[in-house]
Amino acid sequence: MNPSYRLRRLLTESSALLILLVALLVVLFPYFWILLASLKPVDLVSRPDVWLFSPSAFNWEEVLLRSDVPRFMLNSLMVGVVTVAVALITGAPAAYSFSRFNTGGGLARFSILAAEMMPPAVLIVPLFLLMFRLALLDTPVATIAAHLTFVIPVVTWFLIGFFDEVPRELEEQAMVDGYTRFQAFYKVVLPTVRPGLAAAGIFGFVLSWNDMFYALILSGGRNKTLPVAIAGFWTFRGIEMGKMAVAILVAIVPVLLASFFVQKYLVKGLGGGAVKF
Amino acid sequence: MAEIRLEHVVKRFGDVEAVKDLSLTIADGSFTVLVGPSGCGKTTTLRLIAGLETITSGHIFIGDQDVTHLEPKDRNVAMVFQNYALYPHLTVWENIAFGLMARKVPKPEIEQRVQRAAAMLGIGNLLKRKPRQLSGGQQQRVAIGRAIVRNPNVFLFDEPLSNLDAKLRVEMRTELLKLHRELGSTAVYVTHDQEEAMTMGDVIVVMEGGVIQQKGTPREIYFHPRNRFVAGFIGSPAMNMLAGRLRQGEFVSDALRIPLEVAGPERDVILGIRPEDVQLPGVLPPERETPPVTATVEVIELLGARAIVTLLLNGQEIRAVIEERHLERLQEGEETQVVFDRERLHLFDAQSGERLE
Repeated sequence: MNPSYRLRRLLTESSALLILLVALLVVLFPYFWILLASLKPVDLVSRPDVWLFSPSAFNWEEVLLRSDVPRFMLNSLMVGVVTVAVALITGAPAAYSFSRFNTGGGLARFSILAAEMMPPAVLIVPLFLLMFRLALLDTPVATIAAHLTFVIPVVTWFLIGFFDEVPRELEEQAMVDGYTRFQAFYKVVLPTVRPGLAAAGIFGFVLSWNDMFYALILSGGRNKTLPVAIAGFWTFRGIEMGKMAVAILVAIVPVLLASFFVQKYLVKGLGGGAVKF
Repeated sequence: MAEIRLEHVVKRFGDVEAVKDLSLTIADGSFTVLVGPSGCGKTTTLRLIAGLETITSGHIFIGDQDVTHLEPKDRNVAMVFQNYALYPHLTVWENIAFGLMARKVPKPEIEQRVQRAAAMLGIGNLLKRKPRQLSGGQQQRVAIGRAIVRNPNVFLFDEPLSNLDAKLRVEMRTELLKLHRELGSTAVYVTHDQEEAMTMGDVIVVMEGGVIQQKGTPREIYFHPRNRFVAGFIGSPAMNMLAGRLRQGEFVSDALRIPLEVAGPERDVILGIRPEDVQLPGVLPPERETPPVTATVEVIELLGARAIVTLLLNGQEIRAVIEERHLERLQEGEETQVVFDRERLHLFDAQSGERLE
């Protein structure tokens, strides 16, 4: 290799790294700032210019031990888990049918995402009236129902690509081996797409976990979810910045962990069998 | 154990007729090979027997039972796919036992049968592995083990050896045949490889365009191809085809005149000669030689004991398989005399492609 080529390569590589480093700092800075805010003593919370202080656990103790945040977190967890369970039970057979039988043609495959494209404001009025009639307002059921409107399509879309990759021969073999088509589906096909199911489930869970709009309007009272609770620190006495920061961090951690596990499958899932039309 | 009978079977995919009014009886205990180019309907026929495709019209019988509308699971057939279709989430043991579990065979018997099948195939030491930890040849054995453990009426093979390398493929052929002799079940084997068909089949069924072109023993198919398609498809290198006219019991084409023992009216014909029946003068017994013709040697490809020699005859390329010890008489680029084996000439009608006797 001649020296000028090596120099040029070194330069392009290091400048690329520099750009990435800057981007990384920009992305991480808010988290860092929130972490600092959560550790500041009460008198310094409203002073973003102060960077050096002796950290205090006051906010953490307040939020985790003496507030309803843990309960709201459990609420969020419950809403997310039930939403994902229902979404997987309905979405997996739906995705299988799109993948194997091209149900409804290529158009149907894509139009399941239509619900995603609709602004939530369009759905919220009918959903609110429906839940009011059913006397389900301010219950987790209302939130779960609302979350299913966008989690089922996403989970279905997500899984199509995984089913597309399962060779047909696998279920045909099972059928020749003595199983019905449905048994072949759940004994052979489903276990084969287990990573996809996990990724779709986690992705759907994050969507549900992050939602504030539906949760606030349909169930903003006793049974609120964590995002609604976080907004609740914006009180008439001002924003309780320190406690809010703790709640935000508590809300972020599960999502971060989840994303870490599914990152490998995310791109594939989001492609959703788009290749095959 | 059972005979398979297909009666006027038709399979349509939309506008495409993949199998056209096919009637075929596959004898009990035979090893029948369906062979043909891709898209000839051989795989569809196999899948119809398995029940993996619904039949458009006609009937399929296995033994005395009409299975036309039975689910695959109720036909007691076993199938080996080209890509093996091993269940990736199960161990080898579970893969082999999977079909027995579906049939609620008692546990101790499953264990016994899996062990016996594994021993037959020499995979007893792999039972705890997952498919992805196996080589291609081992996966193939597991797929076969899964079929034989079920003790089915019929074995269906869909190009099971295509994904193996050449050496292993030849080994597995022999092994499959041995297994078949041991088990005695009816086997239907689909391949596009005419050599595989020749070496493995008791009976060969040559298909093209959804229609059976010829059914017969390997010898019948090779030495008495019923039409031009079968003649050209079976055999490697392919049969030489010379266009000409049949005139007063003679094949006539430009400078060629070859006397034949075929009567009949004058017409356009195709003369088929297998490469091994194109020889240098003096190699064949004299009474079997046709009058010598002059050809130019284009290329000599030595295979070892024999060579494929490409000759230019009357402006048409033909191939000859010549034994190595005769090669000294040939030189690339130079002319030579060749003769054909009179007893092994095939004559086909140019229009219909049918064989003329």
